[in-house]
Amino acid sequence: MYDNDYEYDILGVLRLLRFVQMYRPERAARLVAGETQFSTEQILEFIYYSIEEIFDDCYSEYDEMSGSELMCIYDTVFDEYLDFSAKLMEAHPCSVQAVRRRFEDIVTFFLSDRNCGIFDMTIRYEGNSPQIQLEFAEGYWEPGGLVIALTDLMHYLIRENEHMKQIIEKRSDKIVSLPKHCMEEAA
Amino acid sequence: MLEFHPEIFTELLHSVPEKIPYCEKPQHSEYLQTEVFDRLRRGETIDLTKLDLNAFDLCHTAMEWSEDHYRGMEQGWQKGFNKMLKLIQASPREKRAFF
Repeated sequence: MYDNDYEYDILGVLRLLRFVQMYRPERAARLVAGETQFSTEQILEFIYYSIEEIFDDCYSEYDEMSGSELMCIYDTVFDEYLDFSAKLMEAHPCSVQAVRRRFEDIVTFFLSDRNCGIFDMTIRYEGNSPQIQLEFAEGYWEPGGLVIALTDLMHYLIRENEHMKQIIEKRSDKIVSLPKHCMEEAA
Repeated sequence: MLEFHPEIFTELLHSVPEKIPYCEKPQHSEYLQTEVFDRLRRGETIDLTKLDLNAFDLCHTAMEWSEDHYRGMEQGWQKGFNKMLKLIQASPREKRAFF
């Protein structure tokens, strides 16, 4: 589309910057001020050190046992998704596990792409707060694909949260209940 | 046993929320073309502090093939889901389990 050999990775950088500008504007200024000059040689380095700005909390560590790099991410958007989903499900006999499973499916859907370079993924819960741990195989790192997948995931969850919030606010009008005689039969 | 009411079933189907797209429809940005891609191709560096982050949107940074990619992913998941459905107990007996 833009006729550039590094289009994929450059779009990853621009997508990261635009996403942070939209949802974390205070960080965008800091991010840009920290790395003022940008060239094609710095793409991978820029993404590597800037990807944490997408989330509220993100850190990487090297696992000596497996020889792989781990990235742990947490964001309030994840909590909001589970909270709103649980509120929407109050009218239905749905367990917390089902809501969590749905969240895990969404995360898997966006991050299971081979272009991300993710070798393994684990989702842990501290209370009701999910923390995603990504594992990258040693020497295999796809910054462009990863940043695009992560921003797509976050953007999707944010839109889903906004949508659920609207439904909850208008829930009394939105819920279609079964006729009284059906409810009586079910009881 | 509950009676099936087609009109209620249809009403419930219509109450299903609109599907949220996985990504934005990719669009070309002339600003990004001239200010970023053309300059980087010429070997120039970009001063990020002068880059207007409000001059483009996420749709201008989506890959051309992203829609096809997610559509393919979705179809793959649907196939997997259908396969799971075929494995449930009622399916091999060819009995109606729902309606």
